[in-house]
Amino acid sequence: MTIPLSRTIDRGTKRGTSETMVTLTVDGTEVTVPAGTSIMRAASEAEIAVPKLCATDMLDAFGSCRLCLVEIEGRNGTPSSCTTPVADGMVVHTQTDRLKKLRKGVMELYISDHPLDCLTCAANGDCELQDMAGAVGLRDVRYDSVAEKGTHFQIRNTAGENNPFYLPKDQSNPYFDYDPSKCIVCSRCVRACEEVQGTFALTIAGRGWDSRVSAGTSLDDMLSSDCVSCGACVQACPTATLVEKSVVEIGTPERSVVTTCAYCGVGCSFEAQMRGDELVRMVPYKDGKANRGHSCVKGRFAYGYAEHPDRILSPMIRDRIDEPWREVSWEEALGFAAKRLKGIQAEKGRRSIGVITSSRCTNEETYLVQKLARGVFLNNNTDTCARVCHSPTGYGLGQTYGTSAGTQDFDSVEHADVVLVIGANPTDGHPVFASRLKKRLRQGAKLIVVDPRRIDLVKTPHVEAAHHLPLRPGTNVAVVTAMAHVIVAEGLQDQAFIDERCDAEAFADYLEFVSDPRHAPEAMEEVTGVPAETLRQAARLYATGGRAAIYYGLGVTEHSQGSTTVIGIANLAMLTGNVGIEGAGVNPLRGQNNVQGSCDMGSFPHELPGYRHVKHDDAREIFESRWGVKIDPEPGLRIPNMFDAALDGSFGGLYCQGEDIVQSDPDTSHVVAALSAMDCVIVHDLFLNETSNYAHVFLPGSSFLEKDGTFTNAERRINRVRRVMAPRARYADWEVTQLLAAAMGTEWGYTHPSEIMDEIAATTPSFAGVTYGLLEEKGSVQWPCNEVHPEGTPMMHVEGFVRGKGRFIRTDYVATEERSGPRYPLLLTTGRILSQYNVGAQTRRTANTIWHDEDRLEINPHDAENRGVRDGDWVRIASRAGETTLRAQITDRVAAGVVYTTFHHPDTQANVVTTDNSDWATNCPEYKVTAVQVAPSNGPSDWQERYSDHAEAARRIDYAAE
Amino acid sequence: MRPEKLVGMANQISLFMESKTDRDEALEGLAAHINDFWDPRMRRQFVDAVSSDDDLPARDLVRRALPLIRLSREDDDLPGAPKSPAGSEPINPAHRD
Repeated sequence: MTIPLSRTIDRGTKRGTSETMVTLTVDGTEVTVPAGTSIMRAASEAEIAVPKLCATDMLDAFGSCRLCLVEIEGRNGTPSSCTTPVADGMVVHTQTDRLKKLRKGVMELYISDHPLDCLTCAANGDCELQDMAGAVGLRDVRYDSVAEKGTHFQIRNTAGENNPFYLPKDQSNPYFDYDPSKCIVCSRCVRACEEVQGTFALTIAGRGWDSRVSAGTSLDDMLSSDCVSCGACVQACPTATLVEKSVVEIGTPERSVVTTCAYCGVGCSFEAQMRGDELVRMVPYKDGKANRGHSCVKGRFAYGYAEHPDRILSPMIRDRIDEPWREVSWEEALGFAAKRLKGIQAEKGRRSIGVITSSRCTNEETYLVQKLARGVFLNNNTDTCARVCHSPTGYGLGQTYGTSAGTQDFDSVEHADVVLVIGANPTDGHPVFASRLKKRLRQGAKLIVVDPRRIDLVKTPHVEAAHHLPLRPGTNVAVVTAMAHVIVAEGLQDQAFIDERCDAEAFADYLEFVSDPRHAPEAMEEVTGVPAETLRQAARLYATGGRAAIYYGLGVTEHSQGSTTVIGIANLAMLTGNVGIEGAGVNPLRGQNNVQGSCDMGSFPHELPGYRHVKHDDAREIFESRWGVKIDPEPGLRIPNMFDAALDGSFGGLYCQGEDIVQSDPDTSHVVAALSAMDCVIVHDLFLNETSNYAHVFLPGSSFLEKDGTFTNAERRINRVRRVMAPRARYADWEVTQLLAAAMGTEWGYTHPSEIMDEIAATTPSFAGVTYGLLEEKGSVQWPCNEVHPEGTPMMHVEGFVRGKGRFIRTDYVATEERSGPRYPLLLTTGRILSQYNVGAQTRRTANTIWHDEDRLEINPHDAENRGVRDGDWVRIASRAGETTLRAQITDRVAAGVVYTTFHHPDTQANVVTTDNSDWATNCPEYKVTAVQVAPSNGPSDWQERYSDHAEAARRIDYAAE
Repeated sequence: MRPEKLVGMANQISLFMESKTDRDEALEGLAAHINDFWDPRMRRQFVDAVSSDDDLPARDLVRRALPLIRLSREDDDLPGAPKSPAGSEPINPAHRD
């Protein structure tokens, strides 16, 4: 939906939430609103806009600007409408002679200290101060004395002396400027930083005339302060004081298209604000149900990669990977690819080629890529990057509850009393959800963090975890099972829920299992490193603290027992009756924007769209009759199996859309060897990524700004992605897959992604009701969306579990084979950082590198001292798989015996070190535990140098003659 | 694929299944998991390797599951769906109707 900029109405304050309705009269118009609503909001709902400056409906009312004054019959004075709640029968006047005079006086004071450079101001046309000056009819400013004393905007006073009140612009943040001279001290930015983002980086320093917005201390600028660059303050600012640099450079936008962020699994809705086909800025969309008008530095600002000169815009091919690339036409590239793929199949058999679908692409694109494997290659060799992140979630929740998805929507966290965060770092990985979580924690909800590392949430301004369980990497199952043991042993389970909703036989078996004293926290302490008493207290809090929600991330899934931990988490929620109610549930935080969608769309080699195993005749028949082919009833290869099969010689061709397997998959040298053994690797991406160094065909991809489609976020919400500019390389990704199918001999004939969604709806029961028309009307829907739930399903398992009865399953702890020992005494675990995303292909090509320009190895001071490592030193990190070097950062965030790094930079090659261990059920790699040794080093390892030389050679392009 | 790797993967599945009290369920669960999630060539290589090499460190349950592993040939011209072994019901019945 394209909405004119003026359609995003700011109603000044939030609507009351009371069920009691109140009727009042505003300027002769009757209006009915919930009790607790402000007069300003009520007036706005009656289409009366009371002048305002410090009020915005993203924030709580503040009442400082004195512009929104109203008169109320039978009451004295002129109260501010933003802070005065409505009352039944109230008669309000918003425009009287007295009010007009007062407002004009207030505005005159504001303007007396404001530079009148409106024509050259970045906010010209988009300035609330300007609007209000117009609204109150300000025609004159009489206060010359202000200039004599020293305004906030003149460098010198009228006597020609330096003006001590003048502060220069702070341009340290790469994305927005802070110009103190234009500030009206309405505190909207400070309140946004507190209330919406929860970082508390901004404050008002000084009093009276000295009052200034200040980031951090007086020695800080925006960049050096705690500011996380989420943009909430910029959005809140009514003037040009805080303004996007892109608006300064380009000018104001002229139209706005609602779309969905292409970064993490929160799936924030944004307005892409455009001028012509130039993107001016991304502003979080207030009606977006995942983010409710908030954003993080990635979605809000880090979109510059879409225009980066590194983007490859022409298809390229080469016969061998040691040759330079040759730019060719689309026809030639696709013909070359199709011929090779067919040749491999002719030689090695039908099951010798496959695809990797992208969790960054749209549902429609993902659906087509798996359709290419199943309907054109005629095998099930399709997998997706979810393999290496959340595949255990699919397995574990499927086995226990019957669906491979989280149970709640994000709004649910507003009702949680206890929040258990396991193996997730929301403030870095899922920042917008973290802000919503922190808001609830500030209201008093209790937090339990289970993580080897002291993540920010453990202690951050106005938030402190009740319990932090710093477990040894690889012992999640032991901790979760011990929690269940405490709950059962102390009789804290919700027996009524269990009796009504869960399979009795399975529960009896589980009860016997979990009651065994070998699962007691005291017995497990040796293994987990978590003090038994802390664990007991955490378990009691989770079981008895009210509505308890679990949020978990890849620290749960990326283990040899990832699926078992997911099952253990599902058990915990069933045990305490925390399923099917607001504020509770089991919530996987998905890594990429469309991990949920790519799983839903049948990207896994064993299941068709909608999680139906390929062995089932009835499921295959639906697609067979529609596609006119026979679908292979045998499961295909998973990503790690593809690599192994390639080294065997039984797998030779891969179409890889939007994933950089060389950088993101574990045991890089194994991946590289496998790719080098293949005859046709097709990379479909925006950039020449690491995988393309081993590719024979490069097909240019399109960014999320260049195509229509949908993403499905972690709460099963299907959000529209809307094209705001033409694909720079001519085709959207779905068109490229369709062209490849055509080159292989199968015509699909889609003319728009909506037709692909129609096919998905027609074949996949949980999507049966989804159409682009419905998404247009509702904004978004959460699957299942069908005849029973025509408007989607915000919460799952409300009346009963999807599989019928909830199934408890035993979760025996099995230690990973990856253990520390004399040779490799430390345990490496990996994660990510706020400003960078995944392999960094996007964020490294933005100004976000100012916050994180290299991966560092976090090491405990004790371990560092033992090894003679100082902060910032180069260190070598070695495992049985390989070794690499990076610089050390000494911190007690990690316990002694544990080291931590991110994997955002290809030069670091963190995955050279990680091993090929994987989850027992899904082969999801065990990224989170690698036994390593760390030693001081002089510089890059041999591998890094060889790799870097090879990468440079492999990226050579022979440009086609003009 | 390397036999050691396949056996290692099977052993991991076995360790999970072995915690079940019902031995038949454990055995069927192990076989069903491999049949449901392993590509035919992996199953073939696995069965060939384990049945021909007694020294491979396969767990007892893994060895006992060998006869339950379904084998199909690459050149099979898309045979009809094999019957589901017990214990491998579809994960989500709701998605099936």
